[in-house]
Parts: sequence; structure tokens; C-alpha cells
Amino acid sequence: MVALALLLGACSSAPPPERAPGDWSSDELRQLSQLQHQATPPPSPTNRVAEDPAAQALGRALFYDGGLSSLGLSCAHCHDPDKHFTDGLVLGEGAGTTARHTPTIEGSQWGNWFFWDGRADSLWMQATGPVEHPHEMAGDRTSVAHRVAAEHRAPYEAIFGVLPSLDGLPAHARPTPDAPESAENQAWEGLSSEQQLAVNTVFVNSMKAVAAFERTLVPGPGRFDAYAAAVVSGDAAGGGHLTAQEIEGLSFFLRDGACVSCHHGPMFTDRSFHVLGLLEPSGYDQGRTLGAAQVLKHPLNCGGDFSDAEDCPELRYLDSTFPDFQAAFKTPTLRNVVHTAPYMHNGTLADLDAVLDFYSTLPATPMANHRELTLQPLTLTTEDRAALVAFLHTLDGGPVPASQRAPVPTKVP
Amino acid sequence: MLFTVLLLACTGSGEAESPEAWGARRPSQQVRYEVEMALEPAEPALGELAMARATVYLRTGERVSNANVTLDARMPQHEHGMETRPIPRPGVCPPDGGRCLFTDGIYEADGFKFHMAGAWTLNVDIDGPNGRDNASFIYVAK
Repeated sequence: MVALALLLGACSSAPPPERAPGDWSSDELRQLSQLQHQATPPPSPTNRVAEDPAAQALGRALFYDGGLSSLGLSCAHCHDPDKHFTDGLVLGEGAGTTARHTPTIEGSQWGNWFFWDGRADSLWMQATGPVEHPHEMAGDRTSVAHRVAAEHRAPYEAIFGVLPSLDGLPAHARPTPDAPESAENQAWEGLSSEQQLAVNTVFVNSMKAVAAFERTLVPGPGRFDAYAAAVVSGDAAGGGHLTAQEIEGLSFFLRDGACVSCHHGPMFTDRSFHVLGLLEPSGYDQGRTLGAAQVLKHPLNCGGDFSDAEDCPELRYLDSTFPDFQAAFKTPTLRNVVHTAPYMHNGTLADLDAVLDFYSTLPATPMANHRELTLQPLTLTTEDRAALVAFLHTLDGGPVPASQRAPVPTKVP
Repeated sequence: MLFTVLLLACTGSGEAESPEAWGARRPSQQVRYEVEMALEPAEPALGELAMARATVYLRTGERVSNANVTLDARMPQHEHGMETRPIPRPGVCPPDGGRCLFTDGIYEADGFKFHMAGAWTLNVDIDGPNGRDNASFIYVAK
């Protein structure tokens, strides 16, 4: 009879009693625990030097080295440490204007997929993209190899061994399968397979060092984390680390807003892809559909010759035909979000007010696919908005430390 | 009998189940088989890859070997499935390259990923000696 009663109770669809902000259920305490800051990112099996301090130091020098670009543009040109590794622009501006907004790289180490569409499956694979993209750094792998040989030889060789001979290599050469007639591609095709392998090896190793540095770009803990640690350990007052309004905002984030559905985990992102149905001023963007297809066939992916991983389960099981990948983009981190405007993959929401306007009303109809069904207009009140913004400020982890900024002296081209 | 009806009622609600509740065998929809379901890890975290295992029985209790069994998961409320395509484990394959056999009634697939919080339906489609049937289990990813 008791078992029957328990079973009937379990089947009951009665809503749970409403709780006051800060009166957390066991499920909510578990969510708060999962949201807490972590200082150490998960392993990076594709990159054997990911934890090597020497590689991190070399990567830091390379990250800030404008000599990797034919135009003197370093990674930091768009990923500016003064802006928490964003650029403050709607769309990235390098050698040209990029198709999407520049995301922060703080906390990206927690992801399985990189870029807004996830077309890279490691930080180092991601780093190879902008270096050679004609609208970003407009560099090429052969000039990177020359630059490393000229300016970073000693630290490179201490980590990766003796640099291969670059004698006789042209100044610029890279494969451009989409533009086989380009001068760079012609120069690349003129190299022997041994020379191509040498260049690719130096290029990839250099980007593995950059990735090792990027793994150190962990956003600092905010006041939220002190609060969460306190309540999870049994202090219902949360150590007094948040104001009543901030707790109200957190409550909305977990409950009525259900923001936590996608913004969960230590970086406040599910590391996955969703369709928000934003207006696309530059035209339709397929998002994850193309990204998934690209990463599966890319020679620098986890399963490629340059990967150090013994197994690639994320790649093996990825279903690039998943229908809801169409026009889907990666959930961004919310850590330091108050410093990283504008927002969204296309940078069309200028500030947090615009973001809340969007979620409050969900305007327009997606150009394709359907909006994530879990999204419903939040119809935010003035109080809701103020509380949410107050809560988001508690994710401010403080300024970027000197250890993440350019080394002195900075390399110049 | 009442217990069975209540279990099915819970299944319909989509909210009351957990892997602990899967311990007992469950009749398939048309009651042609009974099915046990398990995940490994038992309660995978959001975004964590997992393996799903279905053990298929006849109503007499005998395990159903060498059926065609497909395992899948969907989120009915969100009208989508998984971002991954699970790969079935091959069973016991003879060294001469002949047909792989599932002699113990256990059917497994790797690559399940619950990328969103909420109720997922794990589907077991069975084509065996008693014909086609299916069973479903609710997993609430947290």
C-alpha cells in the first residue's frame, strides 16, 4: 500500500509549491553547484603540449605577434585583452570584415566545438583558421613557419625539437582548395610533399602552442561563485555575497526564465548549438549545419594526422544531418558578459538591454528552421530586467590579469 | 496488474521516471516482448557521451537473441532528437566474418548524448520472433 501511494505520488502532475528567491530546491542546488567556477579546464587530448608551461609561453608570444599576418595583425587585434578578448565590434574587422561577430575566447577551453558554428574540434585547429583567413589575419602557413624560425626558434625547438629546414621555401604559400589559381595555392602546389609536411608541422605545432596559451585564459570567479559555494555548502544566506535583487535575478535565471537550460555548466554554456531566430541583416546563415559538415572532413580535425588524440568520440558520433543544426549557433559563455557587448553570432544586439528585449518578445520569424521550442517570450517586467542585469554583473570575474596580456617586449613585424 | 497500469501511466506523463525506475522489465507497447533499459554511465551529465543497453525478453522470460533492435532518443517537447548518431555494438562476431550474433538478448549502442536538460524518450524498436514492437523509457537529463 505504501509502495502504491509512493507510485501515485510520483505520477502526480501537481506543480511544486512556489519558492521564494534564494530558497533553493535540491535540484536548484545541484544546478548552482554545476554552475560554479572551475579553475582547471578539461583535458585536451588532441594537443600533447596543452599543459606545458613552455608551450603556453611560446603561445602567448605568438598570440600577440603581428608577424604571423602579412598586415601586422595579431590574434589580439580581434581578441583584445582590454575587452576580455573580444573587439567590441558588430562584426570582426581584420584584413576585411568577417561574416560573424568576434566571440570571447575566455572559457572556450570547456567546449568540444569552436567558432560560432563549431567547424573546429580543438582550440589549435580553430587557431589555424583566422591566421589564414583573407578577412582576418590574411597570413599563410609558410610565412608563419618563416616567422617562427626567425623570431621564436629557441622556444619552439625546446618544445617540439629542431625546426625542419625552410631553405628554398617561398615567402608565402598555402593551400586554397576553393581558389586553385591563387598565387599562394600555386606556390603551395610547387612544394614537394616533404616541404608541405614540414610547413604543416611547424604551423600546427605553433597553433598548438597558441592553444596552450588560450587554455590559460580562464575567466575569474565572480561574486556569484562565492554565493553558490556558500549555499551549496549549507549557508542559506549565501555568505551575504549577493544582494536581494541579484538573488531575484538568479532565481529568474533558473526558474521562470529557464535561461539555465542552455546556459549551464561552469562557463554558463551547454557548449551546444541552438536556433534563436535572430534577424540576419547579411542574409541567411546556415550555422552549425555547415560547421558540422566541415569539421567532419577537415584534415586538421581530431582524427587527422596532426592530432595527438588516440580516440575521437565526439567526431565519431556527430550527426551532421541533425535537422536543428540549420541556422543554429553555439551558446556563448555568460562569464564577463557585461564586458563583451555587442552580442550574438552576428553582433546585432548592441547591449544587454537589447538582449533582454529580444528574449522578452522574440520578434520576427526565423528565416529557416524553427526557433528553439524551449524559447517562449519572457514578457519581462521592469523589475525582472533589472534583477537579471544585476545578476549578470555578479559573473564579472575582474580584469584580465597581466599574465594573460602581451609579454614584454611584444614582437613587432 | 494494477502496478503495471500505474507504471504505464507514469510513462505517459513523461516526468516521473528515472534510471532507478527502469530496473524492472517493461512490456513493449504491444506486449510482444519485455525490455530492460540501462545507460552507462547510469545518469550521464548534460552533453556527456553515453552507452545505452536494452535487454529484450519474451513474455516467458527467455532472452531474445538475434533480433533487429534499434536504440534512439528524442526530446518530444522540443521536437528533436540527438545531435549524435549512435553506433550499435556489433554483438559477438565470428572470426570467419559471418553474421554477428546477439546470443544474450543484450543490444547496445554508443554515442548517446543528451545535450539539453529535460525529458528525453529512449526508444527501443524490436523486430524479433514475435514480430515488430517497441518500448520507451523516459530519461530526465539534468
